[in-house]
Amino acid sequence: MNSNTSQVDLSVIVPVCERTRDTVALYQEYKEYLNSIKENVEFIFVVGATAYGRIGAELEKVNREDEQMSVIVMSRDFGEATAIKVGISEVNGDLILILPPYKQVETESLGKLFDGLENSDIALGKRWPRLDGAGNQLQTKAFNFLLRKLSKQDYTDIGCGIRLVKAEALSEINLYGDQHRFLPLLAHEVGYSSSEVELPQAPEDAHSRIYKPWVYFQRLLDLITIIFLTQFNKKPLRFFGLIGSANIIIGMLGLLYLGFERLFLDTGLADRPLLVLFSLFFVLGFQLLAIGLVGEIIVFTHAGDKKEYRIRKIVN
Amino acid sequence: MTSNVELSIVVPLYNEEESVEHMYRAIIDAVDSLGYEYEILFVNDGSKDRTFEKACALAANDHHLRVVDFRKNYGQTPAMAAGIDNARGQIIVTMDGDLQNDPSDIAMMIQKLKEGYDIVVGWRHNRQDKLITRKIPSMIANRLIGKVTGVPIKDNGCSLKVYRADVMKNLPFYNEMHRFIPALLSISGAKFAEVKVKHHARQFGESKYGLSRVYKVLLDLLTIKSILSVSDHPMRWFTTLSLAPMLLTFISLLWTLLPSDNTNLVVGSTLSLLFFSTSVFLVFLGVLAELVFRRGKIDMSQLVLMTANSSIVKNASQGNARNE
Repeated sequence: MNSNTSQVDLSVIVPVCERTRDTVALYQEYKEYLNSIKENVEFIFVVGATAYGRIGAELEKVNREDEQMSVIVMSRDFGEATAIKVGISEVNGDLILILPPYKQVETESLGKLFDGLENSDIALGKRWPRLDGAGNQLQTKAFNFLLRKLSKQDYTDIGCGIRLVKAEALSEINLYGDQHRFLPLLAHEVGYSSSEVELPQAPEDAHSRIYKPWVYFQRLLDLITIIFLTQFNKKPLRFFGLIGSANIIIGMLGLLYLGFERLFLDTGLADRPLLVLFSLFFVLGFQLLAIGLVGEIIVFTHAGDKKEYRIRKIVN
Repeated sequence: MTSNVELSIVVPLYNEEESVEHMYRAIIDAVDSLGYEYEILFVNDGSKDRTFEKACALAANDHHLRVVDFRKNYGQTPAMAAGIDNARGQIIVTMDGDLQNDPSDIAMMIQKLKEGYDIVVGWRHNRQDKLITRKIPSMIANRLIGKVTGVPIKDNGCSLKVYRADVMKNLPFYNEMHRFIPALLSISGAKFAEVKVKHHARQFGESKYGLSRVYKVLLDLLTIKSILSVSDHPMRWFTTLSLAPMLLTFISLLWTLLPSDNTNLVVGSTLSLLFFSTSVFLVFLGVLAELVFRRGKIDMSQLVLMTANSSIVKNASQGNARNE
């Protein structure tokens, strides 16, 4: 840990989890560049257990002779969001730069991030211009398009792990699991703004990224979770109600149609599986609404815990 | 700052740069002469225009005016909640920031409160809004809210309300619940009165409401109904809900078993099982709700005590202002 705590100008957090590539070499590169633009820089590596098995020995070797660097080893793989959260608790500066343990953008362009903080609290890296193939870019575009539509915020490259953040903006955010990607959304929820800064993509990042279907499914689930947490946090019934009433309406319309056929066209109900299907829709909608109500009761009974609003200041 | 404020006036503001100063003058005119030690809380709900700057300019010359500035736009209910949380008076007045409420009604409403009520609600009996998009939906909504919550208020949408601070400060109050404050307060057994107030047509800016609210109000109403029911008898509400599928179970059972030739057997028994399982599901959800409620942070006795003691507190506060 850095001893002269008050003088840290920039704290760099590097969460080392699943992916690593030439991390130690990259650290030297980061360090050289950041030292050239900032006075006192501290580096905090938060390393998951598996990654530590891979690069731990190397990191330790560097760490032994390096005053600027501290390494925190987590007892198991907690995920990137938790790693960042752990890093934040060890930070001494007011300005935090989160960098991935693999090269995403040209290191020399990182200085541009500081301009992004002029009008906002968080500067997000955006890999642009891109060097990688159309497949990668399409993935980025599709995911960010969905995110924009659902969150009504302007993000074009949420997958870029490079973020420059004012420390106060992070203090109120609870990150866990895979939510590091959505840090700007969670920050926006408590009233901190973010802006994107274009950084040229590094050639090392241009490899083709095709994942197993399971990974895409997980991403989608993460997205839904975060939208639920940020937008329906205090009103679960709006979320469950929307899906529930859609089901109820489908069920109702179907049942009305069957009823119409029974009464006027004399089609018997007994041999109609559709009757079961539409009843199922109806019942499912009803259940979803009821779950939403339990959600509302949870919110109500804890309403006093957390203020919904964040005050910037009070005059007089 | 003085801590013996008697009256706090809370006004949420969102993009009201034209109204701020008029609003401020109107409130001063109405309140200054009443002889209370008062404060005005303008809550700037993340306005995109110069509302905050204008309010601050006014506050610089008047220590009665405090401005609470939000980091972003959170909505009317959080704005009111913030004002109420930060209010120092024993009597709290809330009103809209768009000049449609008239501060000159405040004096009369405080009089009413002093008669022994916990909350006095304004009723815009001569409402100056569009008939089709505002007044008729609101009329239906008020009827419905009154029926469902059992709190017959003629105008739930009117922001002009006067409360005793003790009752209001502990109220779980979030989301878009400002419409249901009387209903929420009824949990604690608060006594309320409704009085006619003046209402003006909008002078500046755009109305921030539309017809799309209907769906939201309906869902909120369902929420309120659940919360009100649950706070009395946690299990009972979900058991009541489970009666509907139970009834359907019986109907489909009859339909299955009555014909002697077994024609309805397959579809009918499937339906019966479906409805029956839903009914059971709801009962157990009620058990879960009960657990959630018991483990939660709402202490009913606290809420009840607030209003039970009200007459004693009121007598004390009339004599000498209570320090916080």
